[in-house]
Amino acid sequence: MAEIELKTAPSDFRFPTTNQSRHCFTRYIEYHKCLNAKGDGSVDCEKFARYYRSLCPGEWVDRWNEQRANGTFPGPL
Amino acid sequence: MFSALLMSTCDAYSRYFTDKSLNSQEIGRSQFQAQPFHLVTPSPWPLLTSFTLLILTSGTVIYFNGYANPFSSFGGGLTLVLIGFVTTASSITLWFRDVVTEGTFLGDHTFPVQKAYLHSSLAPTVEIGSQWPPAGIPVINAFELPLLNTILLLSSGATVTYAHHSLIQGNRRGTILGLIITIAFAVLFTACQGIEYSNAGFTIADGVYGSTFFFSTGFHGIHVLVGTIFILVGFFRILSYHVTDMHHLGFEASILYWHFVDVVWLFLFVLVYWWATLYRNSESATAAGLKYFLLGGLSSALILLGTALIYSNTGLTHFDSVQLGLVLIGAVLSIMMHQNHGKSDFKMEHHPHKKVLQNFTILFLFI
Repeated sequence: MAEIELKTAPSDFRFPTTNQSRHCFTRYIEYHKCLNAKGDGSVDCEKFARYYRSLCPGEWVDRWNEQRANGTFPGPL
Repeated sequence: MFSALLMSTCDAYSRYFTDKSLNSQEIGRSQFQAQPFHLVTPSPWPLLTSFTLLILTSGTVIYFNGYANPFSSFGGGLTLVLIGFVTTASSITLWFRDVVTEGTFLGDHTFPVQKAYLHSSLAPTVEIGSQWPPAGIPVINAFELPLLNTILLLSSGATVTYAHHSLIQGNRRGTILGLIITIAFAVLFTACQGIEYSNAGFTIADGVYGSTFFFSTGFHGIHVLVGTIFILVGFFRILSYHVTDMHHLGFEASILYWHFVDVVWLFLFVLVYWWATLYRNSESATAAGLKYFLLGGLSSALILLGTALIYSNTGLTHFDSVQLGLVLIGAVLSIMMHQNHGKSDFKMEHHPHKKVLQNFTILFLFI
């Protein structure tokens, strides 16, 4: 049986504080910017998805996905 | 009796400030706070000091009037005065001790913490998309009405100074004219702000952007109205001959207040209208803003240099004195030029008025 590798997002010097909310948000935006630039399902973007999924609370991601679907997402996409 | 009261109060108070039950490290009042609010603790000193002052005053009055001390003959009638003095001095000392403790050790943050607060207050939260202005806010262009308002306020600062200097020199016409222009500028400013408010694409109640915008500019606007009224009062008092060229403190205060309003506007203009609405991601917009800033700084430096040169060579700051000085210099210069006319060894650089010519050139540049 193969070992399952567990790891979280690497520490980022842009977000040196204990509170990582902004880190999570930035990774979410980077993921969607990446998809916009390279097309849906691009392999290069998967690492950003892994990062934001490790960092962000599930409800936040659900809310942001909903907001993007409604066109009310406040971030710079 | 009073010293006993004082001692017991002190005891109770020091117990209040030092919790002896935490006996391991003698943790003082300054190291912990029982609740999250910054409250001034109940203090015995105001009441106690009023009593000690009563003793001191009445004791002194009794002594001055030569009455015998009602309590004892000790100290030649000075007993009450001495008791009053000692208790007052003690109360003041202990009161100051508490104020120092409060001011130095309670509710104050270190500079790095204050800096962190400022930093996070300037960083928009994730909830509004980590960007400012928030998405969809139709911001006001800083280089339309707000720039005009900046020019209006700065000009009104100049005209009010003109009015003040005219008043000092006894020039009634100049004072009144300067004040009328100043008040006109102030009213124009308020009108422009009104136009801007009624045309704004956001309200005070529709989100954090509008709330902060109308809060800051509205507070400034109220101060502008107060300043206008303040200057108007000075104006009508000058019209009614209430003031002299030497004695017009109210008018001077209104001028100071007006400059304060002016300075606050400069900060508002830079922060609220210009910086907060910058397209942070647009390189050309940032470059243009930086150019405005640098050119503004450079021109201010040039104006300062000109002012300094005029002052260092004439020793004068009043415009009309400077003008008179320049006329005199010009007269002296023309006489010297005339005297030297036709002489073969005449060389400009050997003559002291070369510097004067240079100054004329520099002055011309600034006119």
